[in-house]
Amino acid sequence: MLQQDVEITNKLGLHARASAKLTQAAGQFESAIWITRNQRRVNAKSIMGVMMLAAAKGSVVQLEVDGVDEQQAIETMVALFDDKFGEGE
Amino acid sequence: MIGILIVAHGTLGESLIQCATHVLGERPPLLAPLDVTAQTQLTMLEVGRDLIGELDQGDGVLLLSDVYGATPCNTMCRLLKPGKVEGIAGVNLPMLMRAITYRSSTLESLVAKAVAGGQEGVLYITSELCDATTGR
Repeated sequence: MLQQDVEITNKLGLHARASAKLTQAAGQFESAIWITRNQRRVNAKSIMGVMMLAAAKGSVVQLEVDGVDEQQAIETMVALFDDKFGEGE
Repeated sequence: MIGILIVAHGTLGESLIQCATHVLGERPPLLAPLDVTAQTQLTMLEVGRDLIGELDQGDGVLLLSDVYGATPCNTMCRLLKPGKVEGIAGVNLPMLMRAITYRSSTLESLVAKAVAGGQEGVLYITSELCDATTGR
């Protein structure tokens, strides 16, 4: 299992469209992917779960990935956060 | 894939579909609105039957209405066929998003997921919830 802390850096935080992109990216992988914030742990493949984290810009979430493609999955997920979910700001 | 038909007042159905399209980045397939008013109730019943026929790819259709007891929901009740065409009242965006996510499952489990999604999406916004999302 791989774990990594990532910071939300896009202006709007984990809002609806960003959550949709995140869950679509997570859904490509076989591995189980979880996101935790403030003791709330949700399935990264569930859009409503991810939105319920209500993670604003500047908050740090913990990614956990477990499965056969975990290395590729965590790299893809971290890259998506670093890319501000493709939002530019 | 299970089809979804939103049977609601005025333009609520299309508005919810537009919201889901905005969030997901593309308009989901097999998803349509049926706008019902007291004046159009009877014609809408026919239109609804046709739409359900188009939306049913063999896996069934889930109907979502706004308020139980109102004309759109009464129309929806006349369109239901247990096990093939199931309906839920109280549609909201969380319910629709959850329904879109789980439409590859069975109709029975989709109904359970959509009802739970709709209920979990209704929240009193305490100061803690507000602070979490604004980063204060």
